[in-house]
Amino acid sequence: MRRQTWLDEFALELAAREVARADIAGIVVEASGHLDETAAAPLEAFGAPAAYAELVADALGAQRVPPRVGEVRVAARGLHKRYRRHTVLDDVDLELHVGEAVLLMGRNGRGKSTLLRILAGLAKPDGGSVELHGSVGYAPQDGGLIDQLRPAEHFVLFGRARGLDRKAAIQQGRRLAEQLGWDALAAPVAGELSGGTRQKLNVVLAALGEPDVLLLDEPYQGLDLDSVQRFWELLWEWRDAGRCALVATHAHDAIERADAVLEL
Amino acid sequence: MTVVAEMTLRALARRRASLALLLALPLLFYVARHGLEGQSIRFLALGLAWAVSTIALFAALSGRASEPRLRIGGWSWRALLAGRVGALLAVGLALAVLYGALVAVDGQAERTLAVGLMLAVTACTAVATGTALGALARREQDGALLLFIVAGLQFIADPPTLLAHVLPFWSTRELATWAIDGAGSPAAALAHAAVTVLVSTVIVAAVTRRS
Repeated sequence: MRRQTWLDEFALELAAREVARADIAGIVVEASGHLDETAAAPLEAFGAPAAYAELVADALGAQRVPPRVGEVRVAARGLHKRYRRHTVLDDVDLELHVGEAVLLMGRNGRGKSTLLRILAGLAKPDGGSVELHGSVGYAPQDGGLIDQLRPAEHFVLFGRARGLDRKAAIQQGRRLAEQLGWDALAAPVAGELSGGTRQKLNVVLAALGEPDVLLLDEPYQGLDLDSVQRFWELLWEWRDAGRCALVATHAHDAIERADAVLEL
Repeated sequence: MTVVAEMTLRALARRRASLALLLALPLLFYVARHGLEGQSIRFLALGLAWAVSTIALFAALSGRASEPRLRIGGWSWRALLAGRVGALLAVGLALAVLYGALVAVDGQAERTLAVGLMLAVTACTAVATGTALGALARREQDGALLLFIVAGLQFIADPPTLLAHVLPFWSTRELATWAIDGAGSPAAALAHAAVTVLVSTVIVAAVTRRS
């Protein structure tokens, strides 16, 4: 079966299973991206369109609790960003509401990290505007840690800025880490942690003090499958508690777990 | 701010190799000129200036990875800067006391209090200079080379020249002349040190606020 034919049939099968139109677009684009990256034939990669659509629809139905979508926390309009002659963001709009976990997808170089940095206030757009209501927790794709400090010391440093005293910061950090299946208090300094564990620390630091908006850049790069599942359970917990999250990732399985997908 | 200073000191304490080199640099300069009366103290002070400003430079550069994120979390840039600089000043002044005691015990100087003042002022200007160069440099290599230029020029420039006066460690050389030879102007040296700290603070504030 030709690739485009497979994608068209897949979209129709998703629609027949009452998957929301906005979600279908993201799912199909992501499947197309996966085929591009792997250069695999669609039947080999995913199987028959109907069967794969059934799988995706089931997963969406089983795992998604309808979010209690509320007021707008983040609104970006017409964002534009260039690095020299290279345009990385071109007229990007985005809204994040209370109680939403939104996935930010796109191939390498499409500006996912740049968009998150702009929303976090770490980079300035060349055009457009950002409105942000509430506190922000940001986990970068890499960096952002102090290699010579232990996780508990990071909790104290990051927690203090959000009004947590030493004890409360360590307790909250330890609890969040445990939810990700990690014993943070027994861990060595950040410079000696594995890539996946550094990302767990980054996620915990972003979530310390319960900020209203979580901006997570490739948060489960290097995590094992169990940790990925734990991460999403934690994210759903935050979402259900009225916070919102924007998660940049390449992982295809994430489509089934998020409330919406923004493709760059 | 206290938490930032504490964590800066903890991170620094775990860089054992850097700490050993920090201690060794002024000491080696001192020992290398030990046979020449007065020169050993001058070189000790310049070694201290070089070592402390290097630590301050690298602390500023490594802070770039974490400080923007801490600012998102709620820290102000002033608190982060004050905490980091406060910790470095504590380290620099501790080294000044340590090497001042060494000079006193070694009997190399008659005016040990003046030597102590020279070393303390050197620690302050070194922290300010290293922090400012760290704010200006884009990469570690650029920062290290900038510091080589500044400290190296201060070594070779004759103290009375304009070049020596516009460099940040002129106060150290002038205070050394006062402490060792009884000549020179301590008031001019202290004023120069104050201007160095002020200019460095303005540079750091301007760069940090923009970033």
